[in-house]
Amino acid sequence: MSQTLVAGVSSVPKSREVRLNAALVAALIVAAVFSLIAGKVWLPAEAWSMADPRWLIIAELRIPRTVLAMLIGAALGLSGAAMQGYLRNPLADPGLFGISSGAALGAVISLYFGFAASLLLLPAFALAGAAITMLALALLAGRSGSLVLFALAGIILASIAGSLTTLAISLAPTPFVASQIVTWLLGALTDRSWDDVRLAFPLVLAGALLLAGTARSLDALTLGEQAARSMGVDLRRLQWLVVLGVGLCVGASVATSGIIGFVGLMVPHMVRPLVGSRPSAILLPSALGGALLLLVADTLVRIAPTVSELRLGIAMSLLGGPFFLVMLIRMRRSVV
Amino acid sequence: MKGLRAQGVQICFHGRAVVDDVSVQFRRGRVTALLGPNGAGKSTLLASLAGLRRPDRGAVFIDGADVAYLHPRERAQRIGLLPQLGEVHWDVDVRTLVSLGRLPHRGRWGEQSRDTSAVANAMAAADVSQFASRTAKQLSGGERSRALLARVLAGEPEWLLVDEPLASLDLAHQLDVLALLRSVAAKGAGVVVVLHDLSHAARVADDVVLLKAGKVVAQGGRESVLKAEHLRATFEVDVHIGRAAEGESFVIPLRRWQP
Repeated sequence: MSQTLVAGVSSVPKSREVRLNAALVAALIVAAVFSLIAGKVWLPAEAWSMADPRWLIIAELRIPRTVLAMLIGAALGLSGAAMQGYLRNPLADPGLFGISSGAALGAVISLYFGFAASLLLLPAFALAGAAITMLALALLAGRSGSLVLFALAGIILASIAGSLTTLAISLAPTPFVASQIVTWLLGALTDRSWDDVRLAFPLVLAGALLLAGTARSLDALTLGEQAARSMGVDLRRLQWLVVLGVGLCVGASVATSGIIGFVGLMVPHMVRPLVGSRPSAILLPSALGGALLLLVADTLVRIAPTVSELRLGIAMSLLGGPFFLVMLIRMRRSVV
Repeated sequence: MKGLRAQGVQICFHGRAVVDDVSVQFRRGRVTALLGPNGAGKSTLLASLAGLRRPDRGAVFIDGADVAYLHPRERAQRIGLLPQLGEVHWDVDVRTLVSLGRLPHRGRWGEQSRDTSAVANAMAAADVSQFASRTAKQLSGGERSRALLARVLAGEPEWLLVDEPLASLDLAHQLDVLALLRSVAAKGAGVVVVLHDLSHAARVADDVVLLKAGKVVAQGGRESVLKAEHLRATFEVDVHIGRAAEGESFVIPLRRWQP
């Protein structure tokens, strides 16, 4: 009797997960269709033929931008969920690792030296920045597998990368370069092409696969490090998986679209009330939810009645800042 | 050589031996209590028995095999550890919490019926089934301890290593948990439990190991170890050992021992 009762309890969250993921996929499809149609130029059904001159906008601008928004949103959402699980802290964000700052610094250096004209140099520098930050992180904290050391190393690296970025802006050879750097740092998906998709896709895929491999260990970490180790979790391997997975996802995102913050922070929070707090249960919904959030946000900044397009990075910060604040206040209340 | 065996185990922190040349044989089907004052090295010894802290000298063997060389998954299936700190970092429901204990057994395809029944049995045994769907934050300290104990039981380990499971439990649940440890041993598992209350040890343990400053003061059957002179040497306290009308032994600390 009690056995069937308990089995019943267990089947509820499972089906909740499936339902949420299905709903997110459905919403994503609707949002993708809307994203293809909506913009400064609206593309009704009759534009959707190769004969129509507007087809060029669809094939070369709208589709890659839509795909890229989903790709990067998913990468950031998943990274956030994995990081929060790993650090056991709901306020953790991929930015905390210093990896996005490192990637941004790499990109800024390429802009500083005027390499940005080449299609591949800026992303290559951004990825190198991400890789160097990851390496430094691993050297600083890797051996011990200690969480506190790890988080502190990330914060320190982020602040070093941030100050070097500011230095690059202040020393920019021309005002044009300075404004180019600042604009790029704000993050956007404007005028992205298939080249960006081709660059980001394999990196995000590899990162996502690594992060998917952390699911079981993240669940075990719910009970603390010692209990997790007693359940067979190799903390150092887990740390490497998280660092490489987040590094690839975030590095690819920053390389193609600049810094877009708060996705990784917000999405896991929106998902948790729907599927529960088990870290592995929120990985997939966070990826799907991140894709949806970024796609909708990008569509909205495109059709917003502003003179020049509102930058996506700014829009996300405007949304994410207050969200973060409300969360913090709520957490404070529950602590007091 | 059957059983769990520490042989000449020495564990150092910053050059100081926290566990010093400890050799103890634990047997399945029995409850062994690890007793000693604060800082005696009980938790460290427990961690090394669980294969989490490799001894600087000596080794821990499970059925003759060095625990340090077991595959982590096999080790996790055979040895269940309940750490002293009852950490629960996410507000998961009790059922989910307990099912985490099945992680070392779980295959690629998620929870099987064997897992489900093991979780149900563990929850029934630890008396947490009635609040299966409540979340960690909605539990009292005692309910939470029992849920965490159920988590270890769900793994159905051959060896159950428990660090102070009675903290924050009320009297009734203390007795329940002690009875539960006994029943786990009766089913054939070996139980090693760190306790503070000597009367609890007198009640639950078949064997007792007394530790002080990392060294074994006395070990063996409960009757032979729980004696005033051993306890004085271990805790520096004079005690009265008595027997209740029901036959249960009890130990009352009388005064600090003045040599």
